[in-house]
Amino acid sequence: MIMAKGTGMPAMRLSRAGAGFPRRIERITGPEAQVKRLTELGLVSGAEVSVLARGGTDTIVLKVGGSRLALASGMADNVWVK
Amino acid sequence: MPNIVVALAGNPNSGKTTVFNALTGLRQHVGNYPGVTVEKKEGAARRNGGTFTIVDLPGTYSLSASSPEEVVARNFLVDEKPDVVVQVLDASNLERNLYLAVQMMELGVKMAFALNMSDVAKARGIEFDLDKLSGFLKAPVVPTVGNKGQGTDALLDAAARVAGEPVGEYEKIKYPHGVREAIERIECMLTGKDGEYAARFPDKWLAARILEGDNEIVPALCNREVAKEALRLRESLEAESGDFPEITMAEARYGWISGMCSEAVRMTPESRHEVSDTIDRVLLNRVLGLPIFLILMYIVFQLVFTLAEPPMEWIENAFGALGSRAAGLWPKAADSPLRELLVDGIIGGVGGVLVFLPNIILLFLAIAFLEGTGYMARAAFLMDRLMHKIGLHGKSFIPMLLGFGCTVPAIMGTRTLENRQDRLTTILVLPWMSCGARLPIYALIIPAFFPEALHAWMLWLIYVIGIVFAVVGARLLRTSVFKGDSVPFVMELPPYRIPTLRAVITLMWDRAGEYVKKAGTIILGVSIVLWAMTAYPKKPEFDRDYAAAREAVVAGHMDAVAELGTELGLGQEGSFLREWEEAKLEMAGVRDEYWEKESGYVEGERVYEAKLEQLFNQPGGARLREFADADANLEEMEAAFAEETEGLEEGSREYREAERRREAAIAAIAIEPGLFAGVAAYRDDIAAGYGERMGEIDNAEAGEELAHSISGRIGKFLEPVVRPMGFDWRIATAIIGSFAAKEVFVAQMGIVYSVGEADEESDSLRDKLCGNYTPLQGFCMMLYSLLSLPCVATIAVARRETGGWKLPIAMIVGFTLVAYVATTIVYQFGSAFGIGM
Repeated sequence: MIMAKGTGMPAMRLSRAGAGFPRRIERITGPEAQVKRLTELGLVSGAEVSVLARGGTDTIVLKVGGSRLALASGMADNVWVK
Repeated sequence: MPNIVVALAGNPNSGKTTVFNALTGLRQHVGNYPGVTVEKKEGAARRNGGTFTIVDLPGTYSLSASSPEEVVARNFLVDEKPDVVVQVLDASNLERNLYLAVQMMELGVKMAFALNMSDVAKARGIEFDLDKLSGFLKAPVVPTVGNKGQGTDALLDAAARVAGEPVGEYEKIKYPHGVREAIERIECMLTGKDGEYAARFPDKWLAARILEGDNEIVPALCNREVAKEALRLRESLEAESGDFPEITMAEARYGWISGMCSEAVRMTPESRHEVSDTIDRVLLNRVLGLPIFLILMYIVFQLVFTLAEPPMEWIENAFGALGSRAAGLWPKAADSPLRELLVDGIIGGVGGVLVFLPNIILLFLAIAFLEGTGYMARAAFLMDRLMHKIGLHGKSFIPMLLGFGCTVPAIMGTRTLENRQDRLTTILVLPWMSCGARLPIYALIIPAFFPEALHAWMLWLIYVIGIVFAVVGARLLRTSVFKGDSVPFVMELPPYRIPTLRAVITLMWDRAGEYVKKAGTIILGVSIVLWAMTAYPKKPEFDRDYAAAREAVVAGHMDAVAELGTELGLGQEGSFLREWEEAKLEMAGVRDEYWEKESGYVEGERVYEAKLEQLFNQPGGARLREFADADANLEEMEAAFAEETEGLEEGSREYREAERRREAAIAAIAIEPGLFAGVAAYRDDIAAGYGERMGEIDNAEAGEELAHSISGRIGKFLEPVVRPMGFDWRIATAIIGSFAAKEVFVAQMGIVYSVGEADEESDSLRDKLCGNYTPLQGFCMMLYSLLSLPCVATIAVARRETGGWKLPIAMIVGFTLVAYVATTIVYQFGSAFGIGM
């Protein structure tokens, strides 16, 4: 289980996070190339993200920094937030 | 002052392209679609007597070489050593943009920054302390507004200043202790001879990249010991911190950046709700998103096809006029190969391609507009789920849609796909999206073989077969040749904007220009070759004596005319009418032989008119004059009727009205009924029959000539090969011709079947097809046309876009094979079970 730093609370997958609330990224798991890609797009521990929209069950639009990113759900599963 | 080379770097959507345009004034792609600037572009700028060469690097998020763009950018910075790198920063998204900046600082290049779209950022409540920023970055930071051209002078000044100074000391990013140790360890092992990268990069930098597991550098290492050690270090670091070292390092960079931003940037987080978010709530809505997208696409296609129609007609007419103009340079009767080459080969060939230009311009205009607004990225997002199921990427969808229009721009449209596997797969299945040039083939064949009730269904079936092949093909390719992770969908959605007219037009113009260039080069060359193949070698002696055949037809015709003349009492044994007809045929001969301006024509016309006067003015000639006038009258009426009803549907109200007008006009011809019946018989039976028989002879002659030509011979040679598909040498010949452009198939069939100028509306060709082939064979012709390669232009573009002959050759072989096998199976199966025989 991935724990949120310092709180002892379990972190949550971004794919499960409700829309609208800003959340802080705890860490990103998954295949190396994917993690790297997400990092370069600004999804990095400590960054603030919020889910803007969901396209069905598969995809998710989120906001990080000043940009909107569209993510496949497999990727959003690997982003752990608090 | 020497010329200063400036490399322009930046994230996709950072406004890099608009800054580039503002700096150079050069026309260039502008768009919201991430990755639109894939090619390296250059421009020139002047400022205070100094000259600048500005190189537009591909837009990237990092320099870590995980995409071809990143490799291109990095190699340029290292190998070409530009005097200064100007990075364009999107002021609204500073932290992520600075990630690239930090990587460039690590590379040790001289830098200046353009803080772009600072006006937008300010409106969003973001404030910058430029002095502090510039102090942290150890480089000048100039605020710019790219699309208004603001700040470019200051930017050039800053670039010139930096270029003239030595490389400064940048702030060192503090990596965690373990990472630093590991880098030092690798650095110690480097000897300067560690593969092609070692000599080009400083050791420290190289060591850090090796630890990061760089895709380009690690495989190129000669010393496998270094690679092994790096792997060991990576594993131990990962075990220690739970993260890959490159992620740890990335976090350290972000850490430094956010430290800087917290000092130099102030945000007042009030205007959180942006317009883009509101629009996205509708356009990306789970329920509404897809229908809205489909409706939009429908509107685009509708617009493209309806608006393109009139200009297409103009182009067609213009090329027709140009052709006759060119033909007029020679005496009409002259048998000049050069004239044939110019009129049929060059003008005909290029005209046939340029006629699609309005379609292409409009389609690209629509797409450039949608791209400019930022909607295209959303469309890819909406389609990703569906496309993912067939092993493709959401971004493959737009090119596939374009494929229904023309495969050539569709292949160019695959540039937006970052992953090479995705891109190659998309290019490979694109030709199965039945392109517009194949439509004439279906339009010819379907009505020839199938009852009207089935027409729409057959057309639908053909398109669906194409889609099914594309879907199955993509799946198969993705699980075999192009195995590997399809990059899961992650894409930046740019903010919605109203694109500037100039940006849309330039983007459209660039692409349309590429199409025109192709028409002017490859397609022109190929049409000349194919034309020569169907025109040469000339047959010196024909199997049949066509001159004698024509004489026989003329003799029979004259007898029939004389008989009618006798019946109507026009001269002794119809001599008046016969002589009149002879004069007319003679005049027709003159028309064939001379242009109107030539003296032979004038002379012939004079003789003809004198003859008519003499015939009409002789005793009893008045009746002949009446006959001739009625004939001319009817001729005129038919022509007027044809003009009026052009494009009208038979049985429609306007059509019926025109019919009524014609009937009334005919009834108004006031001559003796017996004579009028004679005129009608002359026109409908005698003259029409004569024309038909002469036409048959002309066509048979042309057919014999074609059989003798190179393509005819190749067709005959290939007959045993194409037989299993149910084809004969004629179809084989047409298939060869259709490689220039698919729609040439129809014209070629027309030539082999000797029906003169054939188009898809050609009923006589349809009769011939129906008489010679079974519906099964007809279907096989369509199937082969659908599945085989679209045309030579596709191959040329595929070569250019993939940068080698491997894929194009694979396409030629693969598509021919698939089409051959599939068509053979259908034909053999069909004949065995007696379907469509």
